[in-house]
Amino acid sequence: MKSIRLAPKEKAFDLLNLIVLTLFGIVTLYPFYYIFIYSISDPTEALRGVYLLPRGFSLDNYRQLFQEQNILWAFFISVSRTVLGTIATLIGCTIFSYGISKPFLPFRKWMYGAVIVTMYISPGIIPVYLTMKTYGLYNNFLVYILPGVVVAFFVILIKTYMEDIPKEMEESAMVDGASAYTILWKVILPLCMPVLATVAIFNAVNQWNTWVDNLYLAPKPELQTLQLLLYTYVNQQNAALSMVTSASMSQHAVVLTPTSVQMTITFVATLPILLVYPFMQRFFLKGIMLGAVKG
Amino acid sequence: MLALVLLTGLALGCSGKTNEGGSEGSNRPSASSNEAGEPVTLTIFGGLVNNGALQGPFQNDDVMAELEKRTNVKLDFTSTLNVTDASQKLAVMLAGKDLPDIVVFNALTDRDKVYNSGQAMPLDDLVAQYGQDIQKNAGEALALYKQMNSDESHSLYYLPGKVGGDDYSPLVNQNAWNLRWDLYKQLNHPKLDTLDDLLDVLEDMMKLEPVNKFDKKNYGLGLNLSDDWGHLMIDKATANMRGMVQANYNDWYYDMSKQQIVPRVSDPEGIFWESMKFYNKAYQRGILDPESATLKFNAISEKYKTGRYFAATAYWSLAGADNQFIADGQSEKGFAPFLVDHNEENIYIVQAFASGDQYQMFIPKSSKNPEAAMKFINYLYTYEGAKLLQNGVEGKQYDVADGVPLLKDSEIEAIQNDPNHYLKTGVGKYIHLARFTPHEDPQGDPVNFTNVPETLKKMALPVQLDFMEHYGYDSVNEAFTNIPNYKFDTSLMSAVNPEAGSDIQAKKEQLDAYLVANIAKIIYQKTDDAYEKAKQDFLDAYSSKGAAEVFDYYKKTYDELVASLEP
Amino acid sequence: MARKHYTPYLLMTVPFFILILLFNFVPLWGWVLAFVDYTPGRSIADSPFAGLKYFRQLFDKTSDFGLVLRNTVVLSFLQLLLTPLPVALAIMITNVRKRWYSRVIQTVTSFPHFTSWIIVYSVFFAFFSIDDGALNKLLYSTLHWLDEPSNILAEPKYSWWLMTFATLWKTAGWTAIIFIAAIAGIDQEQYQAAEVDGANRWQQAIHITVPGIMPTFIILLLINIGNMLNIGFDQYYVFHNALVHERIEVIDTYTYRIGITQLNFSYATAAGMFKSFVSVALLFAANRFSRMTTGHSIM
Repeated sequence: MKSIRLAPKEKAFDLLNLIVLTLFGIVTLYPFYYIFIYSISDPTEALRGVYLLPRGFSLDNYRQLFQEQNILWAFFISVSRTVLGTIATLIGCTIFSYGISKPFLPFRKWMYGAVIVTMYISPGIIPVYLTMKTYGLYNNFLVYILPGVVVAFFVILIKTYMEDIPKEMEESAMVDGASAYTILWKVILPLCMPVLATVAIFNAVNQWNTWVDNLYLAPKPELQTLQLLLYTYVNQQNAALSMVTSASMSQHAVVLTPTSVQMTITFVATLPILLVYPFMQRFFLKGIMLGAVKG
Repeated sequence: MLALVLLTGLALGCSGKTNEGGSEGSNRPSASSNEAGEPVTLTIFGGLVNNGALQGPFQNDDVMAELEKRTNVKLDFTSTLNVTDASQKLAVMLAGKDLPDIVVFNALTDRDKVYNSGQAMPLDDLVAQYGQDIQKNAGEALALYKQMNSDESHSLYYLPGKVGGDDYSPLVNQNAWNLRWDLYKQLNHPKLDTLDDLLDVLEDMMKLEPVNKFDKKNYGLGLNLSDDWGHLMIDKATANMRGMVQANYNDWYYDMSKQQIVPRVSDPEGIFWESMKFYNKAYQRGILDPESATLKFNAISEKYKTGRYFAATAYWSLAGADNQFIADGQSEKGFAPFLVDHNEENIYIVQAFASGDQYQMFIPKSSKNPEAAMKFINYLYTYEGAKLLQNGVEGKQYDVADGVPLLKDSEIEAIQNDPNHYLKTGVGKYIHLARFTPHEDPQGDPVNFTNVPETLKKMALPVQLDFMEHYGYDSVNEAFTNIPNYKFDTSLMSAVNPEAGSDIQAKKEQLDAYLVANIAKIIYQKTDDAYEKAKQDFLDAYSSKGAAEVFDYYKKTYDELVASLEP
Repeated sequence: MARKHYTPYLLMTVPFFILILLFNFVPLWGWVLAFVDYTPGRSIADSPFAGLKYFRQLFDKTSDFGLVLRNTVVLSFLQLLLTPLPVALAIMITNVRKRWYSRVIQTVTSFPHFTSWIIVYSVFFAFFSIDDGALNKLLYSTLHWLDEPSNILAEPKYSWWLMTFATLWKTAGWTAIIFIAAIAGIDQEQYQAAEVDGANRWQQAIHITVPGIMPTFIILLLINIGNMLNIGFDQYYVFHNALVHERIEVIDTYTYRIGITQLNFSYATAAGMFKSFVSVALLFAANRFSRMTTGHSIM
């Protein structure tokens, strides 16, 4: 392994790069850090103002939250919908995008156009609710999966990516007698890893964060997602805290503040996804080292 | 092709009367008869102040367990689970005609939706058959509802809630100026005859205690103007002290002295603009927290709680400030209510709902078991039912000694120390379910046992006791209750609404949106001239949106309503 | 080509297309609501016909829709101007020599995406508030660089910039992911050839990376143009206060306020329809323009 000696201009480029990135990194990291230290601060002490370090130390916020009934089941539901939904969406969008990328496909312009238009139209909660009821998807787990199988934005991304793949690769496979599906599976997919990883993670995060469909289209308790539980928890705490109208003489009272509750929720809601995140990174950060130390 | 799809969609949509078998939550065999001793399960929407308090479809707190025993009814709250926007959820349920056996809703926000949907069952026969207590204890309210909240048939569709109730409490005041009692004493009880006096007093208080325990600056006043309802706090205590009642619509008052409807925002000389000027002066003098423009309720509660303001217009605004002082070992600090710039004959400090508040109840046409529902609802209109919801169960929350119900000391301590205590007991959890909330029972004893004199003394804070002792009062509000007229029933005001889809409604929505978005700016003018100009600009814009027309509609409708109810 | 040549491709697309129809187009029957006085619970057939009443209400001279439209367009336009920034970020990230650091930076810059606007506001509030904010404490109380504490959150002059900065902060890292993936798809040989030719990294970035991701960039730009009126609700609702109202109120917050009591579905549906039609028109116009000038387009 030989190390490459860098010309001064390259060094300057690197340094500038690092500085700007680090600054932006601090600006984006700090608020998250703030949320974390706020959530482990003593809630009343935190009202003094939290900056770099937590004030006091208290796990009361978390303790109170994890006493919520059903939190484990809700977690399970959220994980299920994220995993199953992402798989379904990946399959749907990829197959569809491949098909639609073929210029000779009949009705291609119409189908693709219709798909694009879906990004800008939204009928409102009542028509959606009534429609889902008619399809029998009301209070049905599938309501978390099926409507999201084909997402216009992802289709556009994947299709664009596929169209950039040199035609020769497909053609040589076709000459060998491969079927459309084989080509898709063996030739195209491996080349699309970065965009598929992107779609996977975008979709996973979306699935993880959605709660509106839970509330209106699948309200039964067995289908409750973690996000909705957390959201209601915040409101419950807010209401409870505003009900304190008598004297609190004990020093041991568990007193949270609405802000500390919200901070804790944010942290708990986001952490699982953040833990999964780095695994996905390798798919799109791989092989992009440009002119870097090779080894 | 697209047209075909849309047509199919239309066809599907128009048959929105999808009558699927499974409606919300009723996966259990219900509609079994009461006589067999098997509890009947009734599904219900609403009834709690905070839906986050629900522990699942069925509740296991003391109050609910006892209620089930006494009425043989199990309540299934599935449709209410996790609902934070009840209006939206109700709209969706109405649209899908997917309603439970009993519905409690907020008429202030959902009245049009519910009334126009035509989903309520006429209850006259059911009440005649099973509602003896309803007729006995809420008869007048029923008559009012048949007149006001009905259609041409004058049937009874909606049942009033909290009949006989009001928001009076002997220890706190929700509708007047609450000021720091300890600082007021230190200033030697200065006069509070005018709003300018109040400004001076607040300024002096700021000098006495410039910072709080965290070394943050204290202010006399704060407002949460960044909330949609923040503007209602501007004239809250000030209008109340003059006997001007604001309810429902934003541009009217009921003037208790003149006994008629007068304009609120569109009257440049009225108490609303006096209050605006008051806050503007406070801003210019540095008494008003400059951050008020960007404060929301959570943020301002935190400021109140840490003792950064010296005045509030309602006790609930204080967000537990008194408790926090006690927890900090400064129990001599705290708030008490004062008469400021008041009318000698008429003030408005107690909102009465003799004929019910805005939380109305109905039984949907689709209910599977209306008789059982009515029998259950009837119990809610009894004195025993009222006492159960407010106090809990004998032996658990209170004991009876010599016929006097006394809250257990353990219960008092739990209430004071654990904000989540009500989840276990259920006391105070089902506030909007309550249909009947009189102050006293036929024997003259308090219905809410915290009002029993011995218990009251135990629950009062040192500040409140000190305040009462100093003036020789039996209750913190005695100065207020000595005024000849201090209560007002706002049920009629709450009943006036424009027709859905009408021109008046469109104008009202524009006016409201304009008010909420623009009023706070005017308080933040740095000079008197700038203030006057901003005020004029606002009034010009406000009236150009049709303020006069909408006001006339409301006034006329109110007067007609009053006239139609004359015996 | 023989008919059966494209059967497998039809099989790949048509079933999924039907899903799209079922879940995205069928519910559009709800647009009927904009033309009647609808109350939930009443069947649509029974609701009185209202014609174009609700559309007229949108544009009535007593309505503030004009102001709101202006704000929406300005804010969108500012955001469009910033679309190259995630690209720059992606290029920078992929040019960091140490792999581990680029992973860290990429992760960290996407954190803001995960925080809800409510929390973002709390954080901004803690920093910029006139009473307690860290910024004022530093610049005013400690360093005395300011004569009086600044109230950025309540100052209409700064609102548009503040909002744009907030959006940038929240979305740049996340959007950069798309471009990082696009960069990963560029043929490595091009870079190697360029190195051999003596091109430095800056030149490589300009001549290889940028053209390489141009199709993706154009497409995102076009999609955002179409979304000009859909700038969002949460962000502007949370940062709204009376002092900055005239700059911050956007279409979605406005229609929310109007419909808030009694929930006026007809009005909300009319506003939604208006936005949809304008968005689609904008998209197709921009698309055609792009095809003629740059050769790239969505369709």
